[in-house]
Amino acid sequence: MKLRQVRDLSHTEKRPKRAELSALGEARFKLTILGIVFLIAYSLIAFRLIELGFYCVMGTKIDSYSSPFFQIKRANIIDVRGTTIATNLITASVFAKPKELLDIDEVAKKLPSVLTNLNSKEIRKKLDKRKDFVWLARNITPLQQMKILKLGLPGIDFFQEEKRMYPHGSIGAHIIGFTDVDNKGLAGIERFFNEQLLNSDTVVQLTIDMRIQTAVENEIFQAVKKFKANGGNSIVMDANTGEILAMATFPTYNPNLPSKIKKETLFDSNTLGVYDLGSIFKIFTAAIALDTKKITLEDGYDATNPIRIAGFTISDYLGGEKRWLSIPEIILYSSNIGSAKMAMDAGTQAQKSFFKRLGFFEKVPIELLELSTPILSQSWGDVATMTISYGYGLAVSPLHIVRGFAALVNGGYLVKPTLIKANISPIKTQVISETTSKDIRRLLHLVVQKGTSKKARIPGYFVGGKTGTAEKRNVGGKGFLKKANITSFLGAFPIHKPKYIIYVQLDDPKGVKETHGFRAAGWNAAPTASAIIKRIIPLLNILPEDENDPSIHKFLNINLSPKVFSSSAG
Amino acid sequence: MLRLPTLKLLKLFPWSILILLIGFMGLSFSLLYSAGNLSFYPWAVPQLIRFCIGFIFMMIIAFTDIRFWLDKAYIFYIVCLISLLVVELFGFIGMGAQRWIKLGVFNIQPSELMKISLVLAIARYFHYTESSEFSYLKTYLIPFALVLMPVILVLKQPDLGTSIMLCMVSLSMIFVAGIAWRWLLAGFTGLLVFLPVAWAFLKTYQKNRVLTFLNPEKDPLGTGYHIIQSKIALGSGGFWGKGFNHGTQSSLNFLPEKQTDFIFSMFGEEFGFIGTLLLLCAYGFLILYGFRVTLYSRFTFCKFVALGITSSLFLYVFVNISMVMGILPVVGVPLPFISYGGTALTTLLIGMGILIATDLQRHRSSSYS
Repeated sequence: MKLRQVRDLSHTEKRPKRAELSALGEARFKLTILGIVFLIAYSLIAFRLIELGFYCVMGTKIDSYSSPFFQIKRANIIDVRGTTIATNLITASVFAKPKELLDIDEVAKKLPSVLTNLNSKEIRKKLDKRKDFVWLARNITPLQQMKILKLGLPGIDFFQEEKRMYPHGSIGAHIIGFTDVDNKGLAGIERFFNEQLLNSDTVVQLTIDMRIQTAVENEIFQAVKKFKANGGNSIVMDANTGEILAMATFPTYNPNLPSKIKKETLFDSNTLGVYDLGSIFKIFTAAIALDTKKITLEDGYDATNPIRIAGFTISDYLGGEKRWLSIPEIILYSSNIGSAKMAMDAGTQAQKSFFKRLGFFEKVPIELLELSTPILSQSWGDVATMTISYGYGLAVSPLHIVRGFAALVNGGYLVKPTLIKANISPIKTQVISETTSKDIRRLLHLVVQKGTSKKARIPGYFVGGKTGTAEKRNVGGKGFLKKANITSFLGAFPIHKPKYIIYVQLDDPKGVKETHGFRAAGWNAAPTASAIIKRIIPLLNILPEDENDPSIHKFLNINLSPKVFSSSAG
Repeated sequence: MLRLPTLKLLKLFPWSILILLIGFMGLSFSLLYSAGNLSFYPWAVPQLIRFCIGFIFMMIIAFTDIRFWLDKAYIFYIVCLISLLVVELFGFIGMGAQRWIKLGVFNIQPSELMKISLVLAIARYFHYTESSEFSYLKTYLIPFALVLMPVILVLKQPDLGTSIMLCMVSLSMIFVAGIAWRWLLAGFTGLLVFLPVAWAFLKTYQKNRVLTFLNPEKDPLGTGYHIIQSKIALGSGGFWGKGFNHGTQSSLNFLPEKQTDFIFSMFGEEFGFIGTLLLLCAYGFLILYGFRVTLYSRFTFCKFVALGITSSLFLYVFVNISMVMGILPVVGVPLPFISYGGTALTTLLIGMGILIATDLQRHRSSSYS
């Protein structure tokens, strides 16, 4: 090959000039610098190697990553009676090492008898001879594992994996929550206590009783079906300690299948939803008026004509009684006019400070993150005072109302709702007087005996409560949907000595044959509450009482037409 | 072509390097055998065949007169550049999944060969530069252009590892050529200023990769998986290693890409800390040899070619091992002579051939005078 003539082959061929010499010197200098840089970089990796080598000898951190199937330990969650609510299941996952298989045909023929969701063709396809490792099935049952072992196929092996399990399925899902594939809590207790549960053996005990939770969820489901409602929810709480025994929301989800959970089913109406609850607020209005001593149960108001204020009319349902009503009658007939007048007598300030004391202006302090703050829809003037008195204008969550209601009936102190069994006596703050609480109980008993909540009556037990039928707020918050209701029942039992609070709410129940087309709470929420109480009361160890027990009757007795009217009503 | 008595060149031939390379071949073969779970296929035997073919290439090149490469440097460069361009255009025509597979086989070749032809082209340019011109900035405009064109094309593929290699190798050559310190400094400051701006332009997933590199434990099952598994494998080898084919991380398939870029961690697991240090020493020997050739070359072209090849060898080793140990982000650079893969091996052996040729050139040119 002929080479083109090239210019000086090397610097040494000619005698180098001084400039060239210095250039050569500089090149050497720079080459040395480059060499030093290389050396430093080289030592850096050598040091890192040493570090890694000793890291393992010390046997620290790296061990926790010793397999990609992390043995994540997550503490169990149990209910108040010790029933397991959430636990970890050691499952086996089966894999093949195609290179070590003796007979692929045998494997392909025999495996489908155990792994029924695979057929021979699929298995043969998976067992590519060139691969080292192939997953065949994840999380198989112990029985399946045993059967595969019995098949005696060399090259087929198992990995142990840990999977979060909720043995009760969807029961209590909104309280317990669920975890993702990495065992990270994404909702409910699993989310709130994620750090405490991870890598811990300390079992978390809830106040929930799974028997009661199951009964409540079942009844709510039945009610939603029966009354063709969009959904329903319920809370059962200890009136004196604030311990939640059951908290159910329908629709619900299955925490065992996190990938299949629909976003809308994650919404917990009990803690996250806020609603204008309507007539239920009348009992709170009565409590304010009684507690500020503006009225007694012996007083009454003129409910003959609707109230007109600022271009706004407050009238009673279907015209009402159109006469003077005593305080018990206002609650019994659920009079808007009477409630508004009661509220005005007590005053805006008293109403405001009362709801503040009940914790209606903040989130309920409970071991969940899915919580809401109540919404006040207008400025708190006279009009607001009147509308709030019968349940419009201050939207609260069911958990708020249950907490407030407990204070009304338990002798007047506010409890802190909790989901965690702590065995410490709760802090009690007196918010209304013992006397007011007694009066409220008598009113509530009256409503169930003779008023709108008659269908909540249970033979052998004394139940007290108040229904609410409220127009559903428009999506977006402005105005109300006339045709869709939120119906609710808020009650306590036994009412003469309240132990438990029960709340039932149905979202847009329709008029059905059994209710003769009626959609009001008395026709759906009240009987649902009754059904729940009937089912859970034996579980709560509350014995039936003599319905004619004179001492209880004396306590609950209320005078419907008090002295005031004997002269003025006429 | 071989006008010199071949016997004399055979005597001067750096046999130690050849023996070392054969040692690498043996190591690569056994590691790939182990990676294939004690099987000669699919990796060990094909790689051995490539090694043998590569050796023949290397030996032929080693005995070639270096002036052949000086003569053809720009032609090689242009051919490589055009192939890169073809791949780029080809990639635009073929859409969907097909494009990746086809490109996967196709695209690596021109970009790998570019590593050598770029070194040759820059060395040739410097060879014809007057020594007095080395201190001017304008002298370096053409080398910069020579680097920039393939780097842009390779970046578009996208192959960050190769582009970085191309840049670093050229930079080391330009540095030694004698670019003024102030320009170098200005370049670095420019880069530092540019980095945060570039960060803002990065896509979320790209940012994630960098963040994962900074803290792989944050996402152990996702983007951080490679690095963590690789570190475990390295660490679990301990001082003496678990022994040949006794590595659990790699044989149980926890270690991804163990036959290619991450082969070093498998090596570390099986041969331990001592093994890795010995391997590092072996590479050090090769790099030192390259430096020696660079220093003793009197022919400017030889000097720069030797420097370029030595730098790339060093960068291969440094980037790969750092990446495996989590010092650098994962940017697909193989471990020279050990990793499975044809193109990289061929390129490296051709590079070694040229390096030996520049070494032998000293004796060759002296025989001319």
